[in-house]
Amino acid sequence: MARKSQPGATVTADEVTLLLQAWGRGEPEAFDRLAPLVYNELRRLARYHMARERQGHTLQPTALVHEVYLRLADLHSLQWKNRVHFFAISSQIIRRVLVDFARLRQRRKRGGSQVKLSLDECAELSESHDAALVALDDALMALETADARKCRVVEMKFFAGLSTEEIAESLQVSPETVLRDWKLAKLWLLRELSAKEAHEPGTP
Amino acid sequence: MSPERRSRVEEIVEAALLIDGPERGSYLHRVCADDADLRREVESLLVQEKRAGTFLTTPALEAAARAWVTGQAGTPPAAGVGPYRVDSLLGAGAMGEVYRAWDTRLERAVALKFLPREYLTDASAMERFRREARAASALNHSNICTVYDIGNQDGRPFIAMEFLDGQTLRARLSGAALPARKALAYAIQIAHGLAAAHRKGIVHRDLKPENLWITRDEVIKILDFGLAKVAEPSIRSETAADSLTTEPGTLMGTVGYMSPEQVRGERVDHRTDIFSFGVILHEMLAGKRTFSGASAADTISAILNQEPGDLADAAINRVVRRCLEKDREKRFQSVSDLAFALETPADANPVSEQPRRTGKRLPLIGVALTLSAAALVGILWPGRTRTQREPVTFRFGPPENTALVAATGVPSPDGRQIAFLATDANGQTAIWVRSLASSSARRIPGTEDATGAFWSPDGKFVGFETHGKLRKVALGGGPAQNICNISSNLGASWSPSGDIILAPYNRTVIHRVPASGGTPRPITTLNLDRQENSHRWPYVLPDGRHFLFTARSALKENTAIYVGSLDSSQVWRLTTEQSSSAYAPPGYLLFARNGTLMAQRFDARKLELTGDAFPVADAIQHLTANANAQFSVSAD
Repeated sequence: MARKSQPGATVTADEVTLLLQAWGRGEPEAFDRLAPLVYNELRRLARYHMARERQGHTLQPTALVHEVYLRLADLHSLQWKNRVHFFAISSQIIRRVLVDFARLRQRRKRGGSQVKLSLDECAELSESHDAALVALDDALMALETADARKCRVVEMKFFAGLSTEEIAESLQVSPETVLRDWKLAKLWLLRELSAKEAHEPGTP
Repeated sequence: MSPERRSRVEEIVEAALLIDGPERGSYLHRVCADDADLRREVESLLVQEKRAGTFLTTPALEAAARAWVTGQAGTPPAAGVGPYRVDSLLGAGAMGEVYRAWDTRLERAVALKFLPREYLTDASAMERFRREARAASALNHSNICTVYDIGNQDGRPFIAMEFLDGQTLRARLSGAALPARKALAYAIQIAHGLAAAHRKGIVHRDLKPENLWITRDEVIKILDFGLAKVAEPSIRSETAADSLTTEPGTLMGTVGYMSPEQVRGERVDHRTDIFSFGVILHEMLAGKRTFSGASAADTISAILNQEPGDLADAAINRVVRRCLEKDREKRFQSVSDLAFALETPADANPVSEQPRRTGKRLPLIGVALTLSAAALVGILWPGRTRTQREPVTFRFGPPENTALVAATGVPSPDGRQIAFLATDANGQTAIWVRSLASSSARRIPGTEDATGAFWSPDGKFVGFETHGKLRKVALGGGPAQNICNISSNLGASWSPSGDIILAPYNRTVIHRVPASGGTPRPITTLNLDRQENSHRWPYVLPDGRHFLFTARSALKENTAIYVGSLDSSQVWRLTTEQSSSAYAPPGYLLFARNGTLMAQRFDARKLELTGDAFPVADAIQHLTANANAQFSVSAD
């Protein structure tokens, strides 16, 4: 089975469960500990799957999230509610880590040596992608204020690549509502992004 | 907005999305009745519909995963693309990346624009791209950037076009109005370029300051004709749109320059360019955006409903107003008419009395960034042994499978070697050293992620910054050693007495640190009367006791090149230039002015400049924003 061919995680499932619960209780430090775990696990699994993709498999982001879940927290030892909970917060974690790294790379690019962190990730995503992710994140923050559920839908669908059904399950709404939220959220975000762009000088 | 209001807006938007064509308008008219705010809100969302189909289609995680694994993102295309040798990245934006390259067949510099792969997913898109590029390549006009060739590498389409030196109008504007005479000169050139394209039936559709290039000779070049059309996804073809994988935001347009018919999603013709032209001319003269609002909805509403602010010059104002008519039937019907109106304003006014100088070279003030004409330029200044005082400019391409970091070449003190930064295929930047006598370069171990390089006076060490540390490494081998911690690398120069003179932190002064290691100590003081905010780009003079540096001030006229001393706090002001500087034997001060390397007689003992500055080499990289000009000098 796939799990056997991958090196073991450095953190136990129990610890992750505890961190998830702590974060659910609103302890922000728990996120700081969870984020790198999830990020590293995602990277490792992505590499693993993409290597297989070259041999004819296709990368499924949903499968990736599921597998991270399997790796980090033992599905069977958790309640069903935790699984749903995990989808929601892993989406937020994925958003945070992807955007944080994009911001970091941008800062590094602008500030030369001012960011002292050594990140091999720096070269890995293109500049335009970084700028787009950061702009999108800002727009999402505005959306969250206006309509938090739409923001969650975008997080789960775009950042984590979860299916409509999984999102519906997690948010406890109908799949139709998820699709409707998604459609309207995109219009809203596009309007926000183009407004922002109209106010900032573009790149040559 | 109240939740009730929001849900009303959403209800109407959802319903309207299901209705096509003119019925949608009548539906909106009916449901919004006379609630203009409601209608505006609904329309501002509906206007995004076309782009929404391709927006956020690839999950970020998937895109990230691909980049993690392939390590592909951010790396340049292969060094050779057909007959083109790719030199360096010039810029990146939503429409792809632009590289400087060399056409090995025709022996000329070109710019290669790689379009995002996502634009061309199927045969019909590729055909559209070919058609548009072919049409654009037929445009041969001095105010249009010439398209030479198209092609694709690994399925990624590119356009080879005229390599341009200069800056965009966007960079030129930078939030301030242009002098009326200059704005008009630019406008007339834009109009001539547009007229040539319109005569061939080509509409730009995305005219904006970002797409207008001003060369160093003050010639306007319109970029990206026809590209906007290629970028538009095939409307209403849901399956095609769904298969487009797009990074968020890549299909964003710039709302502020669109015509009313464009924001309404109607068919556009050449008169859309006339409207955009009017917006640009208005912005050049007024110094601020013509149509803008707190949100895209407000901007769109302004385009549809607001009249632009009046301009000082009545005749020009009339011309601009006519470009900006909401109803295209009321605009100028051709750019030729428009150009004529601009060139011969109806009544005498201070602007029109000025001689037009479109064909003449105007000095360009405040060059933001002049791109290096060679991949890398090192200036080797022949020394005493020769009577001739001509500098040698040395240009070369990157080592195999690497990309040069623009204009970072530094010749060794004896002029026999050159150190430069290059990034390899894995995205790893390091210092490379190459002997001028040989064609191969070697990578110096321990210099990963270096920024900047400088030589020890004996040429045995190279100093550099990496990850917040100033380090040195012996070229003969051995590990790199720390000299000190720094937070910025604003220049460093190694004195014969074993000190390194450096600008290690942003917004402070010149420091000194022993090359053997230690803590940097400040040796200059900001002159607050002159509103100086930093001292940078130190360069040790031959006596080893004095050094050149640039004092940057909030006031441009107070930004100048100085000489400082290691033995006292005295400074001598040499010349008001926004540039770094260097000394070249037998007695020249070198600095950059508007992207040209200048030399002026300089007596390093008396610390006196004499005579006039004269140009030595063209087209060097010069960043006036931080007063850094990339050039370096070798004594022999």
